[in-house]
Amino acid sequence: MRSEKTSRPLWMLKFAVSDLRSRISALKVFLACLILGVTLVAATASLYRVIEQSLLADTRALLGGDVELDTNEPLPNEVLDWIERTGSFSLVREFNTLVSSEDGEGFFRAEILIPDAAYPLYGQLQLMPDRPRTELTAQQDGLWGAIIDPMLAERLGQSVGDEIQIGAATFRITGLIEAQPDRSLNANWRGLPIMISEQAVEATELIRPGSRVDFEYRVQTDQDLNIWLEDFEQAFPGTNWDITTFAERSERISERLDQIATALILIAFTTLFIGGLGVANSIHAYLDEKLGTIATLQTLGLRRKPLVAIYLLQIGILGSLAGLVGGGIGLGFAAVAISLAGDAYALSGPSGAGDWISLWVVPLLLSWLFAVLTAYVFALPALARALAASPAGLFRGQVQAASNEPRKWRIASYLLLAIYIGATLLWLPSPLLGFLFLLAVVLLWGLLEGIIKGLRRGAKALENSGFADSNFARRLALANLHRPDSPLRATLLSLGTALTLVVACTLIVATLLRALETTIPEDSPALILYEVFPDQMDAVESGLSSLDASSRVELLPLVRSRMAAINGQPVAEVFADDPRARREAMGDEYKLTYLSGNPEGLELVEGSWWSSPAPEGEPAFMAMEDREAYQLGLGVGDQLEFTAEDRAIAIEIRAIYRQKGLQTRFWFEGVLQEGALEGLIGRYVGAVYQSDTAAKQSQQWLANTIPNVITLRTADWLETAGALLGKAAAGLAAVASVSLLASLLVLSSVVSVSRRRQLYEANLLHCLAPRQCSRPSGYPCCWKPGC
Amino acid sequence: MSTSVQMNDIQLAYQTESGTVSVLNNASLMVPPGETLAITGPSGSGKTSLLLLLSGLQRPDSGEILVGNERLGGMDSNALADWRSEHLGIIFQSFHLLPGLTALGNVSLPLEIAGQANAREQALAMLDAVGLSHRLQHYPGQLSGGEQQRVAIARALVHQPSLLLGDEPTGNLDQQTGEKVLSLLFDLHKESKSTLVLVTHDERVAERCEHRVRMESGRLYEI
Repeated sequence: MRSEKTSRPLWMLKFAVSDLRSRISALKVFLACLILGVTLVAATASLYRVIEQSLLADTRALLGGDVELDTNEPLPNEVLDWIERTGSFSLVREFNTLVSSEDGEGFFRAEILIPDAAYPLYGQLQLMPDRPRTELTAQQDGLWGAIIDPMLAERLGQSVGDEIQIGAATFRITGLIEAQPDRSLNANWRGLPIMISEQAVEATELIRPGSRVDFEYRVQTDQDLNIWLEDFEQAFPGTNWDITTFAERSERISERLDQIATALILIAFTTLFIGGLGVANSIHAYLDEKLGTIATLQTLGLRRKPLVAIYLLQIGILGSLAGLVGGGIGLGFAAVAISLAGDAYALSGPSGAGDWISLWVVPLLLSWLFAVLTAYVFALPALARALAASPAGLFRGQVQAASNEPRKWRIASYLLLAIYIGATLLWLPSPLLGFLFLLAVVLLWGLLEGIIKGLRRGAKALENSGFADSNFARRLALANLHRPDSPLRATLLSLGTALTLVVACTLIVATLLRALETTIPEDSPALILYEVFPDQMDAVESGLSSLDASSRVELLPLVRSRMAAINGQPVAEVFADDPRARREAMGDEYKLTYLSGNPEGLELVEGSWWSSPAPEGEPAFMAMEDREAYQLGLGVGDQLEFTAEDRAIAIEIRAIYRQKGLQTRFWFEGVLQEGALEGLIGRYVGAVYQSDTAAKQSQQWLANTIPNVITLRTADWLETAGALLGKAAAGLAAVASVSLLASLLVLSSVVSVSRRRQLYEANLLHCLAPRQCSRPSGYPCCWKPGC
Repeated sequence: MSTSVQMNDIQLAYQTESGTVSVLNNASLMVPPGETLAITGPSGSGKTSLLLLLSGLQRPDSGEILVGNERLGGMDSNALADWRSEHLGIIFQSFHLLPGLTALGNVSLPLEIAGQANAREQALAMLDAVGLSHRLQHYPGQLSGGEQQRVAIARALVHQPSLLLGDEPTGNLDQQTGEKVLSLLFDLHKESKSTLVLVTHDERVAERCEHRVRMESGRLYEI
């Protein structure tokens, strides 16, 4: 009967708020710690959702169709007829080249797109000015029109109406690509798009027999794609076209996105965990001040349940407040990021009610939920000890919190922690990464706990050893390290975790930057050449030598091949049970070369290099790239058969090598014995060792003389890569700083917890008459004999 | 409303690191309804423990405590809380007002906990009775020591308890203020007809009570 009255939610809420309001200033650190963590979680989570939704909203548009067939030659008519019977298709031809402004200053890699009339099958191509593509790419006043990416126009320093040079032809920029549904996610890095007409391609003189041109056939069909693929494979068995469905593309993008997002969200959660320690300390300090109130309420006859409910309500209110504020700020950051980078990465904010809910409301609610959960998980032990305090203290001068939380509360804390961990793992895009992260956190905290115990034991042993016998300050300092409620644990856990995070981020950035720095022009080629035809080798070598006699040119053959058999068994049979793996293995191109001077700095992982040339009539030795080999389950001793230009190349894997990550420019999948590729070499790639000044001249000379050769200056590449890494480093540094800030807040909360004890000790010390200077200033004293 | 208070053969001991410390040793007392009792004695003699037992905040190891017809030992924690809310008022030496509530908020708190509808009106009347109607919206930090203790008395009496416990109610006040507060307490006690048990070191306070007992080594001796 009474409980109905006393547990009236409205009265409890009213009391909880007024009681909270009276000491809200003591909870600034509580709020700040939670807000910091939640801001990061909300910002990363909502950005992830926006990116995911933008990229995966219509992967058909991103892929350009339901299915894409990628080849380097036109598909036979019978295939196109078959496709037309099952749906419709669009062809986009693509090739890479260099583009420069009219004055020939500054060369930028671009991807020339020649779409057919049916393009695009999905999505909308938006051009500026808004005129038909055919009209903008047509020839006017003797110049062909080019529609270019706005970022490329910016890099070239050109705008609509200006002229640019592509191969042998001069183009007028007639428009900008405002939105391209199938824009490559790597376009900013690999080559920005330029659209020209079919007829204009000839004028560039860039295409000649053997030139690398991608034929991308995008298919639109109403049929079930699995059935379509099955029928297609049955109709054209043994073909080596690279076939991808939009579902597979989505899956690949999702996987990569999930990994990146998980890593970022985990960093944010680490900050939230660190902030949690601040929450624990801060609520400890707050409840220390509330012990009298809690005891008084009990003497006034408040039952246990409403008493517990009031203080749980207070934590919930604080968590909610921090969650909503932090979530709001985080979403604000995400919105700013989208508005700044949205155009470049085709990101778009919410457009309808459903979008609003999934992009903003859901992350906000989840941020709130995690803030409240974090608040409860970290505040519960302190609350349990405060609520277990005996009201008898009211009669004895001071109410003391219980030294341990009651068993029921401890079980509740563990349960809540389990829910928290479960919710975290459930929310993360990649639970496996989340699990590994939690494992790392447990190991780290285990290590830190070990250090804490060691320090405590050490301090106690040192104190007992007589080291501090004649020095009171030393004795007090040592005692403060090992006494039961010493702040050592909270300090070390928070600082240790934050500093580990900062060090981890720094190491990642430093490793990436070092990888870049080691690619300095003195040690590596100043200029990289692609698409050198065999009949151009002499011209390239002699031309570059005449420009700079000290330069050294190293040309390596590049043969694009397909894998036909593994250990005598056709690839189609090896992967008979896995259509996707079969299509990937058969459709993948393997770039083969010779070792020569090893300009890529390939590093052996297994096996050994050879010194002899390829023997006649026997399989040639090959070193295979590690990721490719391990993905297919291949190792040293396996026999493979590749096909190139309709010829079989028999090889034996003699070694496995690793590429040098960022420094890799050619990305060969296989290095063969000299002579193994004779008669198959259609083009070369090259490395030119010279000064950067000479490389600039060489680049200009090649663009004018042999325009089909694509050049990449190492200095330019370093600059682009450096800028990209710089942004990544800045992002990581910002996140790490927030974590560090959270740990500093935790430190301040540690101080606030210890403040009452410090005041007491300072007064006590003063009463025991030490000198004035050894007492913190501003503290009152009870007796002043020594002053 | 008044009630009798009866303690029979109370035993209480605390476990400490250095062993068991006996606090109350066969302590017994009887206070008739509406009368006043002063408990005096040296520090550590068990006076505070006696108050804790009488308020139901602690249970004896053995013995019986009867307040009116209520046997405190037979109540669970909820029943004890309800009993305190309806029948008990406590005045502390250090006042123990809630710092986040105004004088009015502090005085109406027992009524709100008991779920009474007209808490505000009763609290206003009580504050008027202790002469603090001009300090209703002041927080404890804004009141003098004497005013704080008057608010504490108002809080202890607002729900018309049958038993009023006082722990050195003037111990933190100067003599003049203490006298005034004490007079107020006894006047209001008379009006309320509650039974008053005071723990005090102050002989002048003790002298104003109808009954006096002295505690020594856990035993009660009538004076």
